[in-house]
Amino acid sequence: MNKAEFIAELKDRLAVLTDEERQDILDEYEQHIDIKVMRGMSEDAAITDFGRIEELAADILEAYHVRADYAVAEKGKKNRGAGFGGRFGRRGFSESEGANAETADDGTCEAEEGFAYGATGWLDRAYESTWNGLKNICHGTWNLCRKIGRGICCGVDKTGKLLGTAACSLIALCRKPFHKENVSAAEEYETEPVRQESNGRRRERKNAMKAEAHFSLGRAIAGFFRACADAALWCLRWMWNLFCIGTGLLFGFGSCMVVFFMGVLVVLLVLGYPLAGVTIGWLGLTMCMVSVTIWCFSMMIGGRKRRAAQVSGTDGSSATAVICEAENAGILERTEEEEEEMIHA
Amino acid sequence: MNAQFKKGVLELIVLESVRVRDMYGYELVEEVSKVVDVNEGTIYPLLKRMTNEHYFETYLRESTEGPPRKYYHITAAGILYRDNLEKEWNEFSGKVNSFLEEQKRGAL
Repeated sequence: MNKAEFIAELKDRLAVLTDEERQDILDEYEQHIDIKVMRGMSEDAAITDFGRIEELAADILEAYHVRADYAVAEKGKKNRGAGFGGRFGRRGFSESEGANAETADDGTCEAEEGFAYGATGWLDRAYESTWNGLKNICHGTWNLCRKIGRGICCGVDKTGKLLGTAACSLIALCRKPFHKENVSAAEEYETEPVRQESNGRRRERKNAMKAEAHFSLGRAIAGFFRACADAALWCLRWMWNLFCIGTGLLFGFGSCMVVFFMGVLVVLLVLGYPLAGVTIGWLGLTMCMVSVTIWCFSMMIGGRKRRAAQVSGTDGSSATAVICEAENAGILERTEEEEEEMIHA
Repeated sequence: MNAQFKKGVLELIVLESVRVRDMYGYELVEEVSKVVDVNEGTIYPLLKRMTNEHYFETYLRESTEGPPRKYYHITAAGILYRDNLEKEWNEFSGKVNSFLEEQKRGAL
């Protein structure tokens, strides 16, 4: 047998492998023969040193975790055996490696063929059904998680809105007596002189002073509580923002470190180290860290822009809450003169 | 030598040879043949399997005698695997040797 015949025969026996894999191994044998020929050996002698070509092909297929009997059945097909048959042919061989290797050495693989094909067909179907089942389970779980997530988000959103409205209504209720008191005092201040103008200027002046004192006290108490509420809200907002910034910076630094190590892992992976699993895990960690960082910064409570957007985009039901918030922030804060004008009006 | 013995130690010999220096296929076959009398054809599948398992990585180097040759280089995983194999081999051969010694003493 010459080199060309040997290569053609081997190529035929390795048909189950991909073109790339097959060419790779054939190049090695071709080069081996060439070197031997270069050193004075004949082609035939060089090929004889490889032993029986059936055993050689079986050894090569074993290296790719392909069963020799499966390769015989698949001879002529270019693809690598779609479905579980191909996969099992590759993986399953290593499990029964000892027994099969021995039979391959003796050249008695044929005895196992019938059982092997039957088992492969059954396993192929089992694999397909298991795969489909797993796919359905994953799909169902994903949909369920999405629904639960949406439900939770919706619930939190609604609860937040409800609580916000309730709080603002409560604040408005607390303020109401002061406003009423002011208005009634002002009315008294306005109407009293008209009613009692004829009773003399002395009494009028006395009543006016009394009303003014009452009005100022109410305003002062209301202003004090309003200032306290504003200060408390401001403090809370800044504490929250500082917490978000701190956490965001911490996770941002962590993200940078994780991204750096991710790069190192990718380089090592490209160099051929078996780090695929670690790299995928690390990629997940990187994405988590970056997401948490972005989330932290997005959780900061905005300033005037956000409130302005809320004011412009509110409907009737939440108008009270927004106006309360806007008042707390000082957007709709009225000056004393304006308030007096409103009371007069 | 028993074919099963050869098969068992072949991986260790190949790993150790490539650990000392990078080698191409034919060179490696010659190196292994110095230790065990093995069929030349069986080394290439072994190299291929160990490359697939990431114990070796390959690269091409120009040759003055012909086309570029594919050299095998041992990876960190390969070194670890080789160390494990050596340890197992030492334990195994030590136990077998001691057993044989004991049997000889008993017979005497």
